[in-house]
Amino acid sequence: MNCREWEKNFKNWLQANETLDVIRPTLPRSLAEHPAGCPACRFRYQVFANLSQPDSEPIEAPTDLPRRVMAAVQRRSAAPVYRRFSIPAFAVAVAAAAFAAVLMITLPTRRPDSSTVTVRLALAAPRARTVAVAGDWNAWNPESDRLFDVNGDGVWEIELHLEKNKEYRYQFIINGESWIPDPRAGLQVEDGFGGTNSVLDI
Amino acid sequence: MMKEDDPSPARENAEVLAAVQETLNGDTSAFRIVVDRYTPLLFSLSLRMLGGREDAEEAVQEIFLKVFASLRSFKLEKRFLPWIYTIALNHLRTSFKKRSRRRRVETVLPHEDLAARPGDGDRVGPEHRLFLAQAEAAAGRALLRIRHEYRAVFILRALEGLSVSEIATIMGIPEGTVKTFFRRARQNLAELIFRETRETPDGIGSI
Repeated sequence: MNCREWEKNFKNWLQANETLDVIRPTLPRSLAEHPAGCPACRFRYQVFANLSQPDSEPIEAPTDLPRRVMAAVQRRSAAPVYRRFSIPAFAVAVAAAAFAAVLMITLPTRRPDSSTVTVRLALAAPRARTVAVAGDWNAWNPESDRLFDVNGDGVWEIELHLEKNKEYRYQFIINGESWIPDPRAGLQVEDGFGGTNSVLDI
Repeated sequence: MMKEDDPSPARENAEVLAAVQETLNGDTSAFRIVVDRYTPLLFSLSLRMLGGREDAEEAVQEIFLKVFASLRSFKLEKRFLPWIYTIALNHLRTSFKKRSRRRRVETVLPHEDLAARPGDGDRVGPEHRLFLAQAEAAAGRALLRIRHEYRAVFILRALEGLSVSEIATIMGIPEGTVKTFFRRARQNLAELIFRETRETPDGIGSI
């Protein structure tokens, strides 16, 4: 069996053994003979084997990493820097996102006899392909709450039902990669990563 | 099925939830319990997802800051582990994209961190140790080249040992999709390994 034949047979065997219960099935004798005498194919199999088993020796994190993490957490906790919305910060964000116009409207409306508040977020971003919002309520998942431009006027909208009497921080994500604060939010707070979170207090 | 050395879900949850509650009550130092418990797991995941030790350390720190900032949105009746994994994977997706853009000029991603782990050298000769290290580094680099979702599913299942249902919960996708992603990850990895080692004379180290 040459290398090409072994590759073909190995892939066929792999396909026939695709099971989640046995992550690394034993290589049959017919497939084990060629790599035994061929360093290149032995290497290929070894690469694949490394990808197919839980580590016998777990990767160890640096011992001082928890301490450094806590120092960062304490810094954030001790000195949150609140600031009002400013034109330069907004201008930088918009320039970075390369958008012509951004307009934000937030309309919280309380529903009677309910513990939640309906909040409508809208963002005018006529050149955006996608707009989403990530925040405290969705564990900062950039894909769980997407805005839609329903009538094609360039204004993207979403309605959220959030628990009332809470404060939420959030950012918009444009085209899946540009994170910008809400330019019209009443309060902005540094996010600790050099960006700005908007604050929604309902 | 979690790894054997992991605590039971109930115990994990009781300790972590108490720490979360104390943190929310204003005792930030209680968050250390959460950090101590999940740093190894998040570091291992970040290193595999990003490929570099420095990037992984930075990612772990940023993930914990996000977890800390989002604590109020955590539902106390839920398990903490899937929640923290979800935040981590979302962060790592963005980190990987930024990192890829930053280092686009590199044709070979460094993955010596994974290869440099001690252990094998005590039992085998230097030549075989080098062979294993090269294979491990190539495996790490191959992982970095497949789609984020496939990589996440593959790492959580094959290397971290999580169950299909746990991965489905963490990633917010159906169990059937987890299985599909796992299968495709394995196929893509096999394809990459063969394709990238085909052109060189010895077939080694070109991934």
